[in-house]
Amino acid sequence: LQRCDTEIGVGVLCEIFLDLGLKMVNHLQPEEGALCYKDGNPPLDPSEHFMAEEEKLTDQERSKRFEKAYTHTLYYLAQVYQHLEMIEKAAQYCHTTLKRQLEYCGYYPVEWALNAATLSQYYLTKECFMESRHCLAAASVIFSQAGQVPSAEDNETEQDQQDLRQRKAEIARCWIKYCLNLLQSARKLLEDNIGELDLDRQLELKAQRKKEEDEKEKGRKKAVLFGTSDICDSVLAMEEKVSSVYPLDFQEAREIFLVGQNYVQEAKEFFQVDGYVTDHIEIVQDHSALFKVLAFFEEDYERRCKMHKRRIDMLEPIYADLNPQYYLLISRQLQFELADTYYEMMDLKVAIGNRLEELDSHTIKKINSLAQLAIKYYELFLDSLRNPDKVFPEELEEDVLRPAMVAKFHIARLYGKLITSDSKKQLENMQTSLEYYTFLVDYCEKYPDAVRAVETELELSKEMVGLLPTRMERLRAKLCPFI
Amino acid sequence: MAGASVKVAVRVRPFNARETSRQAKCVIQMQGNTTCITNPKLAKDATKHFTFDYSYWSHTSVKDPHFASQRRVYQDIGEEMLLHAFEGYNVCVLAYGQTGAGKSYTMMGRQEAGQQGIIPQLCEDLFTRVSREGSPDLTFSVEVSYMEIYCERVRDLLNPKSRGGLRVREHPLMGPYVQDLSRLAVTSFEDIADLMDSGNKARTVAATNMNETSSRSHAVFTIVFSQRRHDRLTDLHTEKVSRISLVDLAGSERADASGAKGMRLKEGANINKSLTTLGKVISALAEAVSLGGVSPPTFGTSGPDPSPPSYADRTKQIRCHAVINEDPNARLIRELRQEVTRLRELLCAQGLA
Repeated sequence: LQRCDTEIGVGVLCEIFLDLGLKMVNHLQPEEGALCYKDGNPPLDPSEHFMAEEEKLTDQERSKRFEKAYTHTLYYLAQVYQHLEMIEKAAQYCHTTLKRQLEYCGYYPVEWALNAATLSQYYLTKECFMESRHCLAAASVIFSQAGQVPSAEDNETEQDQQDLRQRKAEIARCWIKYCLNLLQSARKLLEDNIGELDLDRQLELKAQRKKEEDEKEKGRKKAVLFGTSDICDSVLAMEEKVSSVYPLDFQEAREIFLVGQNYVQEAKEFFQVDGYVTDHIEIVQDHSALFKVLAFFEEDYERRCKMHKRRIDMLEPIYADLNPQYYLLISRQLQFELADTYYEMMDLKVAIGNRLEELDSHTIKKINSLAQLAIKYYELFLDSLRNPDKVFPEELEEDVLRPAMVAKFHIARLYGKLITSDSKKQLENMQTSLEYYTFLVDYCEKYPDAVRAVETELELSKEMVGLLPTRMERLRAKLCPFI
Repeated sequence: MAGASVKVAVRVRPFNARETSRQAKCVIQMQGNTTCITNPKLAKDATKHFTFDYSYWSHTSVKDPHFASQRRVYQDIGEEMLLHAFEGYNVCVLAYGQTGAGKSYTMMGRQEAGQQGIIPQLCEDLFTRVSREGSPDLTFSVEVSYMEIYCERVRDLLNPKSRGGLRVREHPLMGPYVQDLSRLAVTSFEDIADLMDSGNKARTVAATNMNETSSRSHAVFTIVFSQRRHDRLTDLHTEKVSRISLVDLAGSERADASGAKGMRLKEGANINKSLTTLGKVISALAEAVSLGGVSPPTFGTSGPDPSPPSYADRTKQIRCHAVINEDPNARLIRELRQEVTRLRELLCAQGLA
């Protein structure tokens, strides 16, 4: 593997390196394969050695072929790193391969766009929002090139048009994930230990961001950018439509939310319920998640409540029309999300009510109604676990254990939050609450392995099981003092 | 009927020519419904025992009293299926195993006497019962579909000329279905036999290498069985519809083998030369780190695609279907802790009063 400086030699050596590298990889020695590929800048195409003088390639053609060979080399390196499970390096090489495809190799716009969009999703997992946005912006720009190519055969047209629309909607979904992830990552930075926006941290991060604005520009220039000069401007224009830095207040969050919401509408145009149930519902779940994370940034409780109401309005109808026989998991997800959302709304109404002198009957009614709706959906979820004979399982399966226990726990708590002036009713509610807390305690006693899934909830359930009976005793004594 | 259950049957076939010429040793033994596998390379712990619902010894021949014939397999498995179908339940049987294990033989079998598999025997019995039990007040209708799933595309084996694949769509109430899949009415066993025959032929012409196709494609034969009952007393018409799905799965050697690291390297160290597979590589990057949930199982092809790969599915892989997502309930916990404290203080105070 010595270096060879002559024009002819290098070309041949490159092919040999490529070959050797491939062979080495196929013989279970990936590390050596990786080293093998790093050299590669040959001028002569090896096939030329066997050509007559007249047949030899023009410099332009020669250079084109070598650029292509180099691109392939980078691609093989990406695969080698993938096999070595060095994912970051693999991603790097995929990224560069894509870039070179645009510049040297020729590419199919739709294929390229989808690959770039897929790579953007990888960057999301690493919270590299600038890179992710760049990939998505390029994907959108390149994809729009595809629409301009007139379709050749008539009988293919309808199918092709259909495919194009689907791909466009797929890219829109990737953008939704981008917006959602950016908002959710920002939330993680800003929230305190009970999930509320920490104002101190907000100030801290804002100050820090001001400092970093200069650093960002430098970072930009170092990044691997797509595009020949004509594409560059379009990509930049797309990028300017949405931020890639963490939103730190409601205004900033709302802007990203709106971009995400637009893509939701775009994606739903293609992924309609009739035909694409799973996809449609996932998009709606993402829309709901966008509202949920936006609510985190909203200070006003009433407005927050309205955002959660939007979630109910979009999820409830879909849940109602879904056949759980075919879509069990989605059905359960929706039940749980609806229950949690109603709970959240109830909590907000209680908080709003607590600010007033006294709870008026209208607010009480509202709180109780929301609590009942939350209970309803947690119960529906628990019912979905029953067997065909409607019997609740003795032992819960691992994937539903925690949600089931949490549902029971939440129902217990909800019965404790129902407001009534009727003491008899109050006792009934406490009794029901006790039964549900008891379920947790009893289950964990019977199946000790379950404890680690619900430690905190179990601890509190035990407390309540200890305190509630006494409380109920005292209440009963007050009601019937002579018994 | 007992709660929905899955029954598992295991069957061992005779040696093929290659195995015989190499003087292969049979390491399987069966006793009742227990299957024993002996590893000749180990001295200790050589034999492992597995109990199934059925263990079919078909390694020898009909001369062996222990031998499990095609008829026997049908009687155990097929007859019960038919019974449930008449009761109005959906039933399904899947054949799983490596290429050459004998899945198609068990499911379809051969035309010769005594060699018919589960599917033809089931169809024959179905029509026998239909003609026996049919009356003006009880009418039956039987429709069949036959499709092949190959390289993530669905082909209608009863209408193989249709270009391109059929779309799998989802209906919120009716569930997933294959759009435009032929559903042909049949009135006799002969009808079904003819359709099965032409369907089977359509399978093998899909590629030049017959083994290639059947080893990589899944074949699903579906019988939609409707019963219409007219009750004279009430003049009510009721209908029961059941689906009988008979699936011959592709060779299981294609399935992901999460085994020893050495083995995985060997399988996976193939470098794809063509840039057309760049998409697959990129997809795999994000799979390593999920976006907050579990990725849906991929049903990918291994090996060069004869047709453009389905990109839509690839980006789909990245978007993970989470299991039940719960809100972090830190606030609830804190409030409940406060409530516990309050209750304790209250009861304490009341106790003192």
